[in-house]
Amino acid sequence: MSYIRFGNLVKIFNGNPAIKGINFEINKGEFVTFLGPSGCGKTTTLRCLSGLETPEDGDIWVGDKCLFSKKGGVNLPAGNRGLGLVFQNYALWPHMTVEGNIGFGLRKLKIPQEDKNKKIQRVIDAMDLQSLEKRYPHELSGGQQQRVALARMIVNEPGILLFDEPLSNLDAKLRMKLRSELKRLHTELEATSIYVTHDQVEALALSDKIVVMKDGVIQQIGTPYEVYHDPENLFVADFMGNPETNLVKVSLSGSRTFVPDSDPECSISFSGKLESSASSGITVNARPEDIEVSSSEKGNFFIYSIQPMGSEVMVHLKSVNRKLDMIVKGPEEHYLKYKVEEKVDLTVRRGNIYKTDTGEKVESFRG
Amino acid sequence: MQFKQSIMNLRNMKPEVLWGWIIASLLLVLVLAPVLFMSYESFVFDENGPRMVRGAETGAFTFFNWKRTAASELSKALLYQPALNSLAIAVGMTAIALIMGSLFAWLVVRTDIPYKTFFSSVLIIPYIVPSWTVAMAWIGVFKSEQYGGAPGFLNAVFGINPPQWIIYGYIPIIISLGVHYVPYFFIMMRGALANIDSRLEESAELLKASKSEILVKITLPMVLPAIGAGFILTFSKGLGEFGTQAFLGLPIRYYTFSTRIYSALNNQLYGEGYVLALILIIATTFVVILNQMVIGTRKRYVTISGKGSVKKQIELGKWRIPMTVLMFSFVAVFIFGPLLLLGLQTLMLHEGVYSLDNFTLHYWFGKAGTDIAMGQPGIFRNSSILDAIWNSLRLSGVVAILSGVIGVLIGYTVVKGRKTILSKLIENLTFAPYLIPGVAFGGIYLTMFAKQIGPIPSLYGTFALLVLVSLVKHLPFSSSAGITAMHQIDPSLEEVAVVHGIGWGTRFRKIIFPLAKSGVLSAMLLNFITTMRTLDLVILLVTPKTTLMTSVIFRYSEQGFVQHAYGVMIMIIFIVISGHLILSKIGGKVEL
Repeated sequence: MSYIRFGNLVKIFNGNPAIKGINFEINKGEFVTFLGPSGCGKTTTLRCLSGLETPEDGDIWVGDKCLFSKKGGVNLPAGNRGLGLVFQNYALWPHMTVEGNIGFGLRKLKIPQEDKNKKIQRVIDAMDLQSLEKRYPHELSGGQQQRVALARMIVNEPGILLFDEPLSNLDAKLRMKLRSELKRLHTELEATSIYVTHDQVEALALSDKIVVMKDGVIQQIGTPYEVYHDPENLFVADFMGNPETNLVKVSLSGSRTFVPDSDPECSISFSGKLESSASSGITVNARPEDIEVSSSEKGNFFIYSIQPMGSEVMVHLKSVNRKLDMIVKGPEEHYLKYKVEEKVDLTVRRGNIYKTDTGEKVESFRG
Repeated sequence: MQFKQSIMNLRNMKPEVLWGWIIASLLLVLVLAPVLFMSYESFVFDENGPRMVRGAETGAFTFFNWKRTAASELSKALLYQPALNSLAIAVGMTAIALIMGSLFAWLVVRTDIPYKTFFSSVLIIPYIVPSWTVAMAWIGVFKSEQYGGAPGFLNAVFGINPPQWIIYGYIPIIISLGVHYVPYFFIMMRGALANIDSRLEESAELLKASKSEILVKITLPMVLPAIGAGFILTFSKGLGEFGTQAFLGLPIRYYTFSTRIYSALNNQLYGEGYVLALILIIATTFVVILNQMVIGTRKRYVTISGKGSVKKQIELGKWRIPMTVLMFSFVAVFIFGPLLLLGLQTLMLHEGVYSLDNFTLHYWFGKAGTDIAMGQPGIFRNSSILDAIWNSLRLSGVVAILSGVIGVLIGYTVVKGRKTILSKLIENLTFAPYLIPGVAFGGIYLTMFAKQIGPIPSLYGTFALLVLVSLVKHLPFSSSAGITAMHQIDPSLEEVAVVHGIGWGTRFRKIIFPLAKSGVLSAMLLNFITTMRTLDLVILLVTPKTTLMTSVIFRYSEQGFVQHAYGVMIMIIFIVISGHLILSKIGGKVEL
């Protein structure tokens, strides 16, 4: 059941289009992430929804309420859209206390002060901010500031929660902790959440649905699983994955072997079956964890370096002619037995192939 | 329907755009219109036209004003000699300020001269007090019975009769103004010298360069850009200086650009006055553009916090004592000397009689109706002086507060509307008053607002006109302070409030202004000080009802009531120095 709808949304800044006519829908209660590199239009989309930016064209609906429509001449002020927003830098007012920050959003509400205080107390309890009410933002830690920003957002009980990279200012440990708080908050409030980030790990961890964007155009909408394992085009394939995925321009030789364009003397085998007839001008996407390595005297590759990363090991391989680099990754017990300079062969167990020129997906394979 | 639609559009307009249009149109009226008005008036006959040219009609188009000013037998006296004098004064005073200021800065920052903190703090004083402080004291010291009036200090005590060129004219003017601008170069060069990495000089030392070689070949080239910028800026300010030239030039009919404009406008020769003012505006604009081309960017105000890093110090050796004596002499003669002398003079019953029984408090507390000073009562009993003090304080206070609010508002529209044409228009218009000399600015406002224009009533002789002209003249400074302050406020702080549905008025009062306030506070205080000591801007605008302390000083010294003038002067100096102390307490910066 679609709840928020964007119809052919266009936003132009000083002649440069930031969003180029995007269409998509979000279901009620979903946690959706806009993911993409900086300048892809993800934050602009969020700001158009919040009312902070006015789009040049298109429409935005929430349920049967029209927030913006170029044709209908509707542009609801931000304050009447019933949504809450958390900024990257928290945007806490430095000259107001925690209480003041949270209460400021209730100014417009025509209810007795007593009820306002009750509301404030409720979110202070919910966000675990007791005893910090009288403090100023600069007297709080990063995590506490974040919780104040969340409290301020939810005090008005908005039906839609918007997050603009809210975790990117925090250190890694705190980020993990708050990530789970955010997800919990989303579930408890039964809200619909939209989250903007450039961090794919956050996107994968939080979302029901990920919207990958680039240059103001949506590249793919899908579940974290789909976006990660089944990228719809080369851009998405390249953008997702840490360490970077292996994208190799190849042609097909027989039914089980890729021959890389950059080093035709070398070959990479794969498992699974390909349906399509395309045999050249294709690019294969093989994630480091989906490549199997086996020792072989006459191997096509050799081990260039081995980097243990704790639970996993990352291995850098080069083709024997040193013309092609590949990265593989896997559990410690599997890779630590290899020696540098040892010759190996590679088998891709799972991957996708794309047309090199258009970046379009041809098909996926899995052994 | 259409009307309703346009109201809707207005309500949907972003506040920065709405305010942008309001501010831009106000600026067009208050900044651009006066210049256009002046240009127009320079091409028509003024009220004196019919008297000067047969068959001329007031208001008819003519080149008469331009011809008379720039190409007639009067031109030399009206334009060329004053222009030459202004130019010579600008060069002379800048040279003095540059040499003394740079030398003192170098001594304080880089050498082992003693009493650095003391020198650093007192060397700022000449820049805080009115620029004509030294000029007034100068007259008190050098004037002699030979050239009219009471004897000065030298004449009375030692019986010396200094020649006229020492009492009035070029030499005393460049010395007085030079002293006023010494702090400017001192502060700027102190910053520039402190920013030099001393390792650069040490590297040269390791390569066996001598101290003088290092100074000339390493240090000097590095501070040259700062010197260049300072030179051009001081030069352009010097072109429009008024007070000193009036005090030290007018008695012997030694005219400069600004005093010529003043006497033309004061005698209601508007055509002539506007032609002169336009030429001066063009000259100043040219100098500023030159500055922009040389320096690359337009640095409106250089602010320096006065912090310097500790550097390896050059040992002065045998020069240490002479240099220390030189600095102490400068401070004694040009900073404390004038202040003491002015104070002393107010206590002397008869000017120029330096004996104990001549001392009196009459000029401060005396009753009216005595035979002293034509029956003028002392300062604290003199209702016209008390009114002037009240007016000055009121004006400076109102201007300071309003300039803060306006500065933030302009900063808001400029920063929020970044990159739009409207924003650039506002930014440039707010800078324009910098190019218009104070006397001319006052003169235009006098004529422009003499009559009712549309909804604006005639403002002649009102306090409101003084507020308006001071606000507009200080716009370059207030708005740049506001823009800087707004740049430091993250836009999301306002956007959060937008999302919460809080209206613009509340956002401005409760979020934007409180956050920008600390940034513009020092600008507000500086505007207070500047308004307090401004003479040229208001001299044509004050009426008996709206006299200010500075105009009282000007009138009283014209009429020969020097003790009263000095007394009011002492009060201004006291107020501006206190203001400055408060400013440095709250961590403000010195405006250059």
